[in-house]
Amino acid sequence: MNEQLLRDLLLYLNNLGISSRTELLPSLLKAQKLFGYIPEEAIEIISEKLGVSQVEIYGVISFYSLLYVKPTADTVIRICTSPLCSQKGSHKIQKALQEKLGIKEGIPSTDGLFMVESVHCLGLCAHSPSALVNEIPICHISENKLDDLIEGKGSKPLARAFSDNPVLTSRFGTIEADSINDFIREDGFKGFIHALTLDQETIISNVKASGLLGRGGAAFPTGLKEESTAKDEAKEVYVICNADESEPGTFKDRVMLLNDPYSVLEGMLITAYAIGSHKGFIYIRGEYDQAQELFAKVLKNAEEKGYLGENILNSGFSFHVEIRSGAGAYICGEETALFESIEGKRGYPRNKPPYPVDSGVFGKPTDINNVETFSYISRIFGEKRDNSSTRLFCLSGDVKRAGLYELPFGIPLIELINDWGGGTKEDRKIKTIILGGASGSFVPEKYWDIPLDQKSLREAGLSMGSGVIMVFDETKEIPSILNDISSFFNHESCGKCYPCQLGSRKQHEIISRIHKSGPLPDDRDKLLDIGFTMKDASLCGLGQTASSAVLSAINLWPELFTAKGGPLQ
Amino acid sequence: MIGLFIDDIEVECDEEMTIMKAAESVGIEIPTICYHEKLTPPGLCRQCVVEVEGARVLLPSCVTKVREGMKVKTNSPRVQRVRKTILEMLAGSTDLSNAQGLQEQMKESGADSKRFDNSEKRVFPIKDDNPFYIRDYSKCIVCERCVQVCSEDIQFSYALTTSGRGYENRISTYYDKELPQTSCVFCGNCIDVCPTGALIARKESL
Amino acid sequence: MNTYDRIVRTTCPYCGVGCQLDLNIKDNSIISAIAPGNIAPNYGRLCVKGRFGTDFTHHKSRLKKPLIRKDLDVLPRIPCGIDGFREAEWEEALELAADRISNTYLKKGSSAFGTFCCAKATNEDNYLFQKFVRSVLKTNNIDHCARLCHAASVAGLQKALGSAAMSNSIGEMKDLELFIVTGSNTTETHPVISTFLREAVVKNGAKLIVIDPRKIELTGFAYLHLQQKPGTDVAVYQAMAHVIIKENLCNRDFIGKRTEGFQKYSETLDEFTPQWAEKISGVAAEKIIEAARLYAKAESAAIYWGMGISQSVHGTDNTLSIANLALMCGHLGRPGTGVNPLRGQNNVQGCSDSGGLPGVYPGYQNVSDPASKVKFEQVWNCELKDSAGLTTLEMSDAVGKGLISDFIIMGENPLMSEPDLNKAQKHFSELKNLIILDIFLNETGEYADIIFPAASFAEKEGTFTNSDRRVQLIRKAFDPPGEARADWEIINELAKRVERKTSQSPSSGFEFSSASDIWDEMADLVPAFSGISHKRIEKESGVHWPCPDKQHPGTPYLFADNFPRGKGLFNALTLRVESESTSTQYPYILSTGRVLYHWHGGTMTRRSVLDEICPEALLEMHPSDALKEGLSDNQMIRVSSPRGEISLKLKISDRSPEGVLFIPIHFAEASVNKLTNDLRDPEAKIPDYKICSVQVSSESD
Ligand SMILES: Cc1cc2nc3c(=O)[nH]c(=O)nc-3n(C[C@H](O)[C@H](O)[C@H](O)COP(=O)(O)O)c2cc1C
Ligand code: SF4
Ligand code: SF4
Ligand code: FES
Repeated sequence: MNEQLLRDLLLYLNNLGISSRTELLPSLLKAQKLFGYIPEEAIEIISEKLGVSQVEIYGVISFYSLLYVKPTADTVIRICTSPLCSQKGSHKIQKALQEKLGIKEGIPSTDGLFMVESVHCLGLCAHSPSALVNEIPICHISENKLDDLIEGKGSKPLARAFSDNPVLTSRFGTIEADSINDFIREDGFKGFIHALTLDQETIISNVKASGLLGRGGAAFPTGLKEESTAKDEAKEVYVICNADESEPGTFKDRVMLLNDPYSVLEGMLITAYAIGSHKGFIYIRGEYDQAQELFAKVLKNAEEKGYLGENILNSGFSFHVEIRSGAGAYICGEETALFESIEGKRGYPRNKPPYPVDSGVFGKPTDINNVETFSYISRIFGEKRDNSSTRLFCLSGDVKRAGLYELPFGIPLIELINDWGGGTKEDRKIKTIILGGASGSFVPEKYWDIPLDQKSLREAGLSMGSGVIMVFDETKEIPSILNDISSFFNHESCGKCYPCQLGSRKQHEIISRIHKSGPLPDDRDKLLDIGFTMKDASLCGLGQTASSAVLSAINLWPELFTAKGGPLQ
Repeated sequence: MIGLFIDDIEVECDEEMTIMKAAESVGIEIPTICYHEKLTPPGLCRQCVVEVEGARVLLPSCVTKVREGMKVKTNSPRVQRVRKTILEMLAGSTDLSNAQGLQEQMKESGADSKRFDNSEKRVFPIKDDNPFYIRDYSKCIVCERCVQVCSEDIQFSYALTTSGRGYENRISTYYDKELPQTSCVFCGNCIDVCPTGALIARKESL
Repeated sequence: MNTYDRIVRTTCPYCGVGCQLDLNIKDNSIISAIAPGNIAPNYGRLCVKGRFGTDFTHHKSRLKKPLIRKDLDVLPRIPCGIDGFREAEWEEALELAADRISNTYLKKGSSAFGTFCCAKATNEDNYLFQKFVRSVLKTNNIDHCARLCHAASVAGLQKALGSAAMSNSIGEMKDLELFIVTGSNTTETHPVISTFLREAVVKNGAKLIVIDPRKIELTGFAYLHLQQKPGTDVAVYQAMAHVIIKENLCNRDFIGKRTEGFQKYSETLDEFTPQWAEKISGVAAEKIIEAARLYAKAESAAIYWGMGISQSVHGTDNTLSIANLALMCGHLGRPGTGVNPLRGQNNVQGCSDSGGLPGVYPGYQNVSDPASKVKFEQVWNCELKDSAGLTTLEMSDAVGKGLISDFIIMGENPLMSEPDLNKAQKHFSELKNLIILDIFLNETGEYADIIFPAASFAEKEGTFTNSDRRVQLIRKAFDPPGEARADWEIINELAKRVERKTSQSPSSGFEFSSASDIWDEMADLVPAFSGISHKRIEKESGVHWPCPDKQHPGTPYLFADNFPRGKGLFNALTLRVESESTSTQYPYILSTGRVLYHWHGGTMTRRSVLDEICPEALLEMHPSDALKEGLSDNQMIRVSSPRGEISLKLKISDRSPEGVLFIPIHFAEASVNKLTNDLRDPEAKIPDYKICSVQVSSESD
């Protein structure tokens, strides 16, 4: 055991403002960084300092993919195996890499230099297949460039957006992301300063009037949330920005955070002021190292300039923001699981009610919104825009120009793909489109020209979730795509509730068998029962949507699931 | 007092009551797995779900409070399908041979215990590491009652946790150590609440 | 799976919590135990002893037939194993015992008898036993091991309040706001109570102050830990009182209405400053001040204590210092607010209630009070002595002086539990007649002339009264092994014979045919029990005394309106330092106590599966002391005091502070009472178990 590292950990713990359970995940991530894993001695110190029992810490560590109780390696290479990357051959690349290094998945090389793991979606879907080498994202990896990959070299993700009338992305490329002066020059904080002149009710009614719906997936009216959180003035209230972005196919929040992070902070400030909150968190997924670093600078600069902290701009209003890093768990994007995670627990979603607006993090009313939602709030007050405007779309898959698009609501799906995305590569036929990511569903061909607005989609029984559009061309196979999707849920179900814990596994077992060797006579019935059970009885949104793709596929291509349908091509 | 309808029966009850308790008060019994009188209901097994008019999904009756005018169906086809499937998947994952309550529920709901037989079961060696009781986690359904008992619902001894994630969730000690090497005080309060016989007093297991 | 064929609800035979227990019985054998649902006092919780430790009832060494010593009347008697006895028929053994008792009675008179009743036996057993002793043997020389555990709590609380029981119920614990635990390693001695205390802290945000020399497990849940040097409790409490008065935090209203002697007491506190206390106790003055403020300012506050307070040469003072504190803050007589000595044994409360004490009849009715005497004489049809008898250790002294020649012991094991055992053993070896009722042949039994095999808790009916005064039933789950009988049945027989042989008539009445009949006789004589019957307990699962009539609901917390003595009395105290002090030859202080897996002298737990997890005594020593002595973990250590020596394994641990050692009391092969000091509290006559001076050396030296 390295005594010096233990002392470093102790120093870190001693310097914590509060020594309570909420510091658990940060402390564990610190230990993980120091040691490359979390040794027993570290758990003991953390347990003692934070007053959390050792066994609970053990349970927490084992929940999060980025925390380890066994030594890892100097270089950990994580290959994305989510649908998009997988469909572009990431599994094969991973295998080749492992062979080259002479190691098995998840087991460090004997010299402790390398370890290879698969991960689910790194938010680099516009550049698949992709990987993470320690903290460094590498795009377009290939079997031919394994040496580069091992050294952490390769193409870096582009962080830009396409739009003909940019609102949310208007500052992209025109400012240095970390420069507060640039931001202010480009009308930054104008919305907040304006909001400071309004009373709280007016702010909330403005947000309501804007018609803004949350951009994290559930499309809940943002103003309503603010109103419910604000109603109880006596209590502590929290504002949380959900930047855990892990839905396969989603990368908008990463790009937003890397291009215009101050606008997100501004949205949080306005919200905090409106609901009387003095403390906020931004929960950024653990794989977004760069975004975390950048946001730390943003907070520091904002504080120095008087836009954050005590008595902001001499208004008497105080607000503090803390960055919390995720640790590798998709479920922690679910709001109540995120609260548990901030509280230092396993990321288990809570039964609702109580809803976050009544009892959120630390049991206090909490207004939690997505990155894009907050950024949008800053525009409502800065530029007096209403809801008729735009949203961010994450276009990925077999299109010529995969990437982030800011476009008006109501743009027809196929137009987005063809006119903006440049159509499919080599102008192949589109096999299928998935809206909403892994938790979304296949779009029947008759809806390929559907206008992308809430109403039309709802009527068609579709949902765009966090704005994900995944395009698969004719070279792809449905069972293979489904296999990637079911594998994702099998890996990411938190396991708290039975329908999803059991269903995600049974579903994956059946799908992967169908993928390998075709269906058995009762597979379809089983999948239907499992699917409806997950959808109807799961505790949280993960389980409730984990069978969407499968159920929609059964509907569209019943022959794939019936043994009589003959062998698969 | 508020009024609601459960299976078309008009029920009057306290507004703080759960649907499950309200149903009980008119003699309607809703099956449960994770719920235990002594413990904070975790609402995780979803065996107790009911159909509430206007609700998008089925709701767990053990933790959902009644509301004025609510219309509840405790045994609709949707509910039946879910209950049966959960039990079938459970039987396809775990050895339920000593779980009397669950076997009865399977019979009741017409669940086919062999339906998922060709799927991968969770099988572990028996843990026999102390003089008092035996842990056979092949029988464990991860209801987490034992963890609740050992931590903050009863004992505050903190010897058990759930480790892992998803289907890999397991009941574990600190680093999976043998019980005598942990903070376990062998109160056995966990045995009392274990519904499956995964935890069993040594003499009973003979 | 081994399923059982019936379930018997009963009360746990171990500690004073009095957990309700469902025994799962198959083929007349206990195969497991579970905690019944939501009923007091344990509300579905158990500890390892209750759940797994009842298997002693089936142990092969249970006594099944009466035993008569082979070398009867050879003196001094030498302890012998089972081979030193022969089995006898009941008739022979009873006749022989009655003859020997009657002989002494007729030749030497009542004062030649010493008797111990039993904190493990039922109220009914004890009632009948003391009735036999008082009405037939005509002596008040009766006591039991309460003398050795909470006598000082009793003496102190009787003086200050007029009643010595826990003033709050276990049910109130989880809702506490602030509480002090002192001199009690609750997680090990009262495990189930400790779960409610921890619940109060973790779930209710209650603040816990631990005042204890050892870093016991509860300190992990404590807001403050005052780690005083052993024997300096009075200094800490007096200093807290000093702070409370100086900062004017006392409850003037309560003091005015419900107490007396405050003015005089407060004038004595000047010198007891926190700074002074810091010098004496080693506890930082600021901590004492903070604790005082927290306690005084709390809306409701309770104090819980154990042997650490009472087993001391100034145990009565310790208790009084606590009572003073509670009285000045008005922290008495409300839910979650009171003073609570945690009783150690399953029925130590009940044994005292049932008259197992030298100075009182059942229900604490004084033997020297003429009215009480007359009442008991009338019901018992006999004449009674009006002077208090001797206490436990006084009886032992009297044996040494040749004043007591005969001892009758029901279930107790003084040769494990008395201090300075070598002396006690010498006394016992000189007895003329020693008659014992027990379920096992224990260390004291080895000196006996006649041993009657008794039924265990699972083999008879009756009641136990737990630490919070709740009277609960035990039920017969199966027959006693061999020819063993319930204690009360044995006493019935023996008493009748002695009455006959000593020509006492009419009989005081030993024709009981059930435990319930015995209870009814006692309930008629004890106002606090009048409303309680076996039938009622059967219905309600337990009733807290006082319960003066059938309509009365029972009394979970005491002192709501007044104290039994009228007003609460403040008692001025001085710091007395009388414990054995360390010396160059004996440089360590030795403390004794209990561990989770064993109980009392180990008679039961050492014959249980419990012994497998905790098979030997361990000497607990601070790491720096071990370093200084060059000793390492698991080494065999010889520990000796001016009175004796024992050997046991070392366990290095920082639970006890430097210079203080700890040895548990349960292990006969390393019987720590060979080392302890028979120095007694002048009022309570309780010995100074927690402090004696010792030296250590490696066995191999
Ligand atoms: C499994 C799951 C994962 C989620 N992940 C995210 C996420 O990464 N980012 C996000 O903003 N919302 C996510 N959500 C939605 C949140 O629960 C919540 O609805 C959202 O943060 C609210 O913000 P909004 O109103 O701005 O959309 C997720 C929901 C579920 C069920
Ligand atoms: S639905 Fe899935 S992710 Fe959500 S609580 Fe249940 S097991 Fe966990
Ligand atoms: S061991 Fe028993 S109580 Fe614990 S989770 Fe498994 S089934 Fe539930
Ligand atoms: S009983 Fe398990 S969710 Fe309600």
